[in-house]
Amino acid sequence: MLPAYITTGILIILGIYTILIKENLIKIVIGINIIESALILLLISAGFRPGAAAPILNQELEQVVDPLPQALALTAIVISASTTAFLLAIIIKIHKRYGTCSIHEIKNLRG
Amino acid sequence: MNAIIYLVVLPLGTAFLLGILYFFKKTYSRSLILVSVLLHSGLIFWISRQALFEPLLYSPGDWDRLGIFLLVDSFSVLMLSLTGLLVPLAVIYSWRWVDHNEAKYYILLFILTAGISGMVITADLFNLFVFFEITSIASYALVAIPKKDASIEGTLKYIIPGTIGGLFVLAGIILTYQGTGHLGLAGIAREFHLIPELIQKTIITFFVFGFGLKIALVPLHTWLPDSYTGAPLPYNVLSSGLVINAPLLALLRILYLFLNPELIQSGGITGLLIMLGALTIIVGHITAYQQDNIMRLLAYSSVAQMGYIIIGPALATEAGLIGGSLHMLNHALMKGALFFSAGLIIIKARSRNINDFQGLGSSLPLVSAAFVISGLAIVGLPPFNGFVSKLLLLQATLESEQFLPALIILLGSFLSLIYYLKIFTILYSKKGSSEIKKYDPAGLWSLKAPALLLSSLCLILGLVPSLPLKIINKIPHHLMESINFIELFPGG
Repeated sequence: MLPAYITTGILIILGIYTILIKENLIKIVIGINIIESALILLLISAGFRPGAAAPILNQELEQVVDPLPQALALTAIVISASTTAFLLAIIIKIHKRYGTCSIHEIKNLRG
Repeated sequence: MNAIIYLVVLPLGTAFLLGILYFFKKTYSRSLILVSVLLHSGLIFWISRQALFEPLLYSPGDWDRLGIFLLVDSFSVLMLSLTGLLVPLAVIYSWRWVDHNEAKYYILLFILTAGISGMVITADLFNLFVFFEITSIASYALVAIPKKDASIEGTLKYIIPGTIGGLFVLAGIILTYQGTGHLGLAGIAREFHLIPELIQKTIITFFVFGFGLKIALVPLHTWLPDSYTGAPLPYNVLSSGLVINAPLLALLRILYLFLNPELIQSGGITGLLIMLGALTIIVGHITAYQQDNIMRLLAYSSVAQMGYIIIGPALATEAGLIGGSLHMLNHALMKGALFFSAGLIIIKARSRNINDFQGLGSSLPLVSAAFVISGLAIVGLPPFNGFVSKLLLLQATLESEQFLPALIILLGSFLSLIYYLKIFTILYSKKGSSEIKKYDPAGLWSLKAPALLLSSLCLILGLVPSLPLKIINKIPHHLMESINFIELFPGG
């Protein structure tokens, strides 16, 4: 469990750093995606049980991992994919209008 | 109670049907929109009347205790009735207002309605997150509808903080599940106190930060005015009435049910939220005063009003919760009336700068009267509805011996009076040059009627505050004592 937590923590901090420091919009989207992946890792680790089988109950009952977080992870992935698609679409629009993806340059262009 | 699920299914289905209809037969689309919106309002009315006597519970799929529940209690009824009122008005207003991307606009509007209805009636934490994201993504896209520079930029400034807020909410939900093994609100309410205290605090911080971004509490509010300048005006009405209120409702449910009111008071959450609320009021009003663009001014005014709304429930007393909920309702009505009438004034003046509004008070008498009535209501003058809710909030803060927020509520009203008076004087001042009166789109009743209806509601609810209070007085019963909430569910 502990390695999963530590990895999640490192990834979240990395993502927040990327969002705060980078000025390229694409990199900010990558930062957001890193946090999303970290949270999905946290979700999966929440349902993890050592030595358990995958939650497919076709034989008699056995020790399985908690299937609920995996269902949630799927939903979270779908949501994050749609948000990312929308973000990238907006960035394309921005690039068409201003010819740049840098936050600072967009600010300067507006005056 | 099967009908509850149709609160979500109806607008969602309409959204998809509308997409197909726009492809084949464009002519019927408006009638479909109107029928669906009115059906939704009727459904809300019918369900709300039943839910007022006893909260309605529905478990899709009949899974009994294992089910993922939908619940309509009086808190949901408050937001649902706002949805049922504001969405039809916004749709009627949009007939004339929205000229770009019409098909996409209405489809997104219905998805937004579905998201908000779902967010309000769900009793499950993960469903809450899903509906929260549906609402958010629909709102981001709605801001971008006019395809102007301002709207694209506003969307970008909205979507980045919004996504980050959503991620923090998700992190809070995951930690809650890990701690309690439940996702249903009732199960979590029963077992939240078993989580170690440090993790409890982390979870609550995540939720306050994540939802706080959406509610536009002050250090996190910068996206709101930018998104309002670019967005289509009817969306702004829905935004300040529903999109920023629904996360607040979710946050309050989470705070009140997971922690009990005593813990909110002693655990420092009251202090934190009151501080944020007071800051929100002051910063919102002062920045609103500096604005020349009417949209930005109203946006900052919305920010400030969220400060009032959060202070009440933050006290964690019955009086505070009632005052805050009433102000939530009143603010949605007042801000709706202000935006609708401001839209007509903008069309007439052909400018969004308030200094160009000179002399419009006499050429648009009814609309300007609606603007003044709702402006005075939001300042908090009697006999309008804002007065009643601000008075209740003031009483609640004094009862809990929180004198600083009480002072700030009064000071905030004074500050808002200054900038609204500025607009009123410009509206009713005489214009020097003669005015061209050829093109007069402001005579259209589909634009006027929503403004007039909402502003007359401001007056009516100010004269008869017992009407909304009948619903609102029932809210604390299921929130203040989490045991009352848990008992609603089977096996609780």
